[in-house]
Amino acid sequence: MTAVTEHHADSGHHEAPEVISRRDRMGVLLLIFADAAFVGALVFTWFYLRTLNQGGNWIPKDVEVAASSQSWIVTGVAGISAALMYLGLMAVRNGKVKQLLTFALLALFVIIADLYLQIQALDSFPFTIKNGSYASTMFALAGANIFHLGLTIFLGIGIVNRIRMGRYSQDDHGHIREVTYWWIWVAVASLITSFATMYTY
Amino acid sequence: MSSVAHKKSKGIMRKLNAFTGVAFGLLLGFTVNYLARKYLAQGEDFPFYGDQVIISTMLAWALGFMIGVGAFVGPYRWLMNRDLSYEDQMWLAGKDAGTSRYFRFTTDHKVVGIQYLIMTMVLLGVGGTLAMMIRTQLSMPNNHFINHSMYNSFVGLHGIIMIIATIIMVTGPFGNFILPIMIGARDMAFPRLNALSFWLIFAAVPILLAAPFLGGISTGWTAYAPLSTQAPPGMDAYIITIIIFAVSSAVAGANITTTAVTMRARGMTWDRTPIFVYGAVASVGVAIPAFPMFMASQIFSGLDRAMGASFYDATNGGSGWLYANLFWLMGHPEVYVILLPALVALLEIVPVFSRSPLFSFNAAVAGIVGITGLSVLVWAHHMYASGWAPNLNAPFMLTTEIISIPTGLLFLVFIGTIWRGNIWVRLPMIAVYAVLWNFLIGGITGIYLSDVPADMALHGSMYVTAHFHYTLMGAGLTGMIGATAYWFPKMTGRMLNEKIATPAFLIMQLGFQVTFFGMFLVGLQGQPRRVAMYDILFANGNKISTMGAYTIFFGALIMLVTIIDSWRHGEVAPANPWGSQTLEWKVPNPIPLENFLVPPVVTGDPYQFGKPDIYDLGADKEKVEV
Repeated sequence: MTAVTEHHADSGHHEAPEVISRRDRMGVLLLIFADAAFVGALVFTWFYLRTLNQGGNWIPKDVEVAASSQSWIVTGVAGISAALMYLGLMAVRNGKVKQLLTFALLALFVIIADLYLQIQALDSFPFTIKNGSYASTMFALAGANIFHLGLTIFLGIGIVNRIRMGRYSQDDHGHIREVTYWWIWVAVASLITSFATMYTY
Repeated sequence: MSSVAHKKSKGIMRKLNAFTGVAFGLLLGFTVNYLARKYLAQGEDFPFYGDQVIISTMLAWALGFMIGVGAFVGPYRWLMNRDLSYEDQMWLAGKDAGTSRYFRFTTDHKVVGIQYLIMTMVLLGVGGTLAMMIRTQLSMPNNHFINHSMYNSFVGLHGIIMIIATIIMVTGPFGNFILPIMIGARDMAFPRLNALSFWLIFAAVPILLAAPFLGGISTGWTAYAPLSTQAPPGMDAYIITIIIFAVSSAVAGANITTTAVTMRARGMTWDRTPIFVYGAVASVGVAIPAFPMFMASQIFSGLDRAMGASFYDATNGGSGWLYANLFWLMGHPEVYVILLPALVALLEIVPVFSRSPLFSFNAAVAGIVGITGLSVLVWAHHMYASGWAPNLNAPFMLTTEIISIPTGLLFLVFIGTIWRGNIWVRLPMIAVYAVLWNFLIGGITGIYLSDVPADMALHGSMYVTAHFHYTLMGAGLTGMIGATAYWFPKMTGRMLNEKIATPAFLIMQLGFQVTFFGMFLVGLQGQPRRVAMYDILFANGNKISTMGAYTIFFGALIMLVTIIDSWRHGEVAPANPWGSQTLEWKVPNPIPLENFLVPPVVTGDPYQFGKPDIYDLGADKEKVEV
């Protein structure tokens, strides 16, 4: 029905939270699948242009490459953040809502720090987007990661706010699970791109 | 509920609608345009200044429109832990709202379905008018009806408008309006995402229609790089439109899939699920991974144009082949995104108008699954002539030819269902016959084009244009007209005036055969596509095509007027005028807000003609006996 009636006891069409949660989970997974196709297109682009090395201009001779350590640091921090969010999910599953708030808050702080690190990494690239296809693809990968992190921060702020206001419990924590799925996917996407950028030459 | 419905409006959410969306979109667009012109026209980025200003303005319009129409109310309220109340949700669903609900962010799937239907008709009208301009220009060998630059622009704009229109033409109106009722659901899984997917397209259309005023889309609908990176700023309109459309498609795909998988009525096992649901899910299931790749290809185009990036610039390490791959990784599955929903809509029609069970439900499902699976393995048959990976030509030829097997299965199901049926000749059934003929020609000519040597001779010719019009228009669009005729009574509560609509349909079909017969003719003679002038050798074929096109246009105008007139003044439709057995025909007209007063329970398959009505919910006792 149009109106989800989980909070409306008078409605004749009440749907149990687990029914809504199952539906939400599938929707989120499908949207993650769509995003994965986008990330796949970016990684395909990386390997395609690198392998083709059109005119030897994948990395022009006077262009310096970015340190791969920057990308791995960003990925590592995203992984830590996802792990914290996952711990929060485990906590709420065990009925420990206060622990959930702590972990979610920590995950949020860490992901904000990760966004800062990613922007700093992008800002310190020793090339501009115009310096060949390698440089262009690096900017695209970094840009996609910034988009991911930005969206995760939005979700993180929302979920922390809602946890703080006592929204979730052991029996009703579907949103926590779905946000955690997204959080983990962001870390995995970052891992995939870091792995790809190891193959610079 | 009436006290809720008449409660005095409160909160900004209830003041937002399409008009506030347009106002806010224009405000933000003009503001960003002013700021961009003021601050971007400096420094080393100057060569990209124009594209930067245009792209930022278009994005600002789209963002402003979505804010103004109320698309972000839900996420904002979620963020603040002030979830929409039951009353808010009822208001969003358009309860007791009358016509105004069609002009705001209404979440009721039936409203969204009607919005999609109107949008499809508008896009088809614009794209069809452009087609008439093109055909008028081509009516004589050295015509000067429109100049060459404008001709190129019209060809590109016609192409992309028609592609967008045909992608949404079945899953938009019928996937939204009909599918939830067909499976016994009260709405889509994510009503707000449903509205979001429509209004995103609404925001994208003005951007696309701005293209002619910015130099047009001179590249054809494929927008191949590096042509696209060198094209006038109209190309930015194409890029932004596709990015927005890709987001809309992903959201709609996730929504329709989740609805079909998780919200079927009790007892509706997969072997009792109507075949339309399979086709719709297969279609959007292909779209979910395909359109993000298209989006990536356009983001790269935008970065090349506005930032000087080198994704497609071969002098700086880029490659046009990258674009071709990303584009056709979407582009060929997209053919089936268009075709499948139209075909399965007709598969709903055939048993009803043959009064016989669907011939081999399993073969139909196997056909759909086979087409879906193979559709992602055929993209490079569009690139035989490009010189990309010649060693892969043979494998791609094979996969393309294999896809005719599951397609043949669907043909078998059509023919098997009609065979010895008690045929009721009404407009939906006539559409089935038309599609079988058109798709046969489109399919067989497609097999020729999948063959590498034949494709080398025919590639880039009018033959290809005729081929894909036979599939996308002859099968896809004709199928959509059949589906509209079939579900019109349920969607509008009125009967379509078939006394006028059927002749109009036949005129369109006659015109269609004439148009594309002429096009096949000049294609085989060697006339290339996308040329404004041609040799006298091709004059007769082009004249035939143009006469056919005017015939289509004439028929389409009559059809449009008939649809509008029937919608407003047509005979009031009974709940189930065709004696169909699927669930959407078991709800009364007008359909209640939440579709079913009592949740339906399904105990058999929906094509058991000649057996007692398994779905009878008592909505309509006056069934038509055949």
